Amino acid sequence: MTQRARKRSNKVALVLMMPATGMLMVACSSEPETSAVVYSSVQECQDKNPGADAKELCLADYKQAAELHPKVAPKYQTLQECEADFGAQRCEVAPERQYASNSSSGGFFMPMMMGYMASQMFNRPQVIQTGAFSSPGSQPRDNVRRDDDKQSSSFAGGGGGGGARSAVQPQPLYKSRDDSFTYRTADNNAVASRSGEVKVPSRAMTPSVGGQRRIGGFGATAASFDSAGG
Amino acid sequence: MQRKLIDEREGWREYAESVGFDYHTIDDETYWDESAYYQFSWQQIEEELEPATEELHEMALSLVPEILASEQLLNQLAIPATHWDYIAASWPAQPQLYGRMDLSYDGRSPPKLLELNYDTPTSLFESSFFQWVWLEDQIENQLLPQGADQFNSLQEKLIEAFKSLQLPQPFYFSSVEESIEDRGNVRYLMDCAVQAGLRAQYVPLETVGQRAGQFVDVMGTAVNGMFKLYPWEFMLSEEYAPVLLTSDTRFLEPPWKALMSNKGILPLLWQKYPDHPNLLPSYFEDKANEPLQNGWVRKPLYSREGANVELVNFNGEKVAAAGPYGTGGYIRQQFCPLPKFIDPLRQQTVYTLTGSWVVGDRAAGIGLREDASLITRNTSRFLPHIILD
Repeated sequence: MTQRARKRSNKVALVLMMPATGMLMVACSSEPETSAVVYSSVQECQDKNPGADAKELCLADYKQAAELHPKVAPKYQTLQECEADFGAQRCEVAPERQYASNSSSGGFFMPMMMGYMASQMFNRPQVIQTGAFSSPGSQPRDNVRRDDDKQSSSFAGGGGGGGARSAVQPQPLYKSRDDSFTYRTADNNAVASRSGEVKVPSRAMTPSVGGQRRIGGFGATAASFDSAGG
Repeated sequence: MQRKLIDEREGWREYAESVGFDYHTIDDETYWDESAYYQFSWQQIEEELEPATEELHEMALSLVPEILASEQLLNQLAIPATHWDYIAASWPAQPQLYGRMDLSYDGRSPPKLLELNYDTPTSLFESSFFQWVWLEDQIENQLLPQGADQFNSLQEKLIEAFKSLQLPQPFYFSSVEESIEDRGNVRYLMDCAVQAGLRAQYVPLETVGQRAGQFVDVMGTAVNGMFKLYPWEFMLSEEYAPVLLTSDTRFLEPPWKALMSNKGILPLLWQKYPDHPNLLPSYFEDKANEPLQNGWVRKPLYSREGANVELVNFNGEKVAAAGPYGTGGYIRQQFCPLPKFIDPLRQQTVYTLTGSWVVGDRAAGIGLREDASLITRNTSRFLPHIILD
């Protein structure tokens, strides 16, 4: 009998919207965590990773995190509100936002960046290989399902295996007033209590940009709809 | 094409929520329904749905240059004259990412095109990801045989498309903030984009601003590329419509999609390809038209999710769906009843719509929607399907 070409994807995976556990994989798959490294400064990164390459990678990660910092950091109307959450002398003025219209007087305040998180230094592809689950042997993937394939087919979770799948976007970290040891992401996910290598839950991977107010040149018609899609 | 009952997977709701599928139940009504599934034969998929989808897609695209070259057609489709050049500039330079066409298909006669959802198609996550996992799980549970397959290569094709579209980075993904369903769809697309190696960033559409004729994010950074799950016809009429003319933002879907999601495409298709086996007779409505006759459907040029659609069946019974659309023109399309199935659990008759996906220019899979009404709406249940001979 000839085998037909599959009509469905060989595998599907999520890297951002990752499940806590797979339905059938509860017993056999670990928590979907990703390896990352927390640094208090670019200097610390460079000290811990000697080598010319590392020096530049450290700087690049730091720059990305620093660039993201004003975008993702929680914003407060007043310095007092900010310091109430992040502690005295731990807040700064958010850069002037360049709105076209609507710009009201008075700036915003945000916590200072206390460190940053990046992918593991030496295995940090920007691209998550979709074939990352196939074993090194080159069996055709088409109609053959292997057991190792089966287990992780639907989910991109799990920290085990190749290690070359770390997908953490470099991002700033903060420390709150009431817990000044813990590094937290802008979305308030605690990721580490000291610098160094960490396993982070996948949801900590992508910081979300917090918008404080509507700019509103688009979107007005949507008010009368449940969904703008169809 | 059969409807078959099957046991639901234990704990699927918790699983759905863990992957961000928060809208599996909408207003206490089931949306994702795995109490049953539809079974297609290989012949129905490979000889009917797949080729019909690709042919219809090609036919629809063949109309784009013709519409762009005709003031009369652009007017007929109610495209604002201010943006004719803007739309024309996107064709054919900016290929599409994806689209969905809604078909009436009963497994026997050729699928008939009911409409194109080519600008803001949703139900993507459940089509691409969730029903895929459902099939794998049910094979694992031995409720479905190993040989069961599914017409669904959506995720693979989406990732391929994101790799080949040469999009500016970071590429923004936007939707209207309040709609969790829209946000779920956008998050999933963003996920595929990241897997294709893109740097992706979510931005609520309402927070997009403009500076010196360019769209910017809340920090004033230029938005060079943006996917928007928001209809072009809204964007062309809202406050920022003039900014489009000066901005360099590359949008997905591209501006020419404004022509495709317009129901006016249906009469134009019928004019160009009369009596095509996958088309239904369709006309622009004008003042001279008589009241809706038996066996005809009336649809606004712009409408989504079945809103403001009105139909009179062959017995003269009228079915209408209320909705917020209702300005602008209408088209009329011959009534082609959706196939009817019995839902033994709910003890009711259901009508089933086949949504057929196109990614790039390839047929990429289907998603089934079921409703007790003949008009499929945004609350219609989504059911998984399999292919098995």
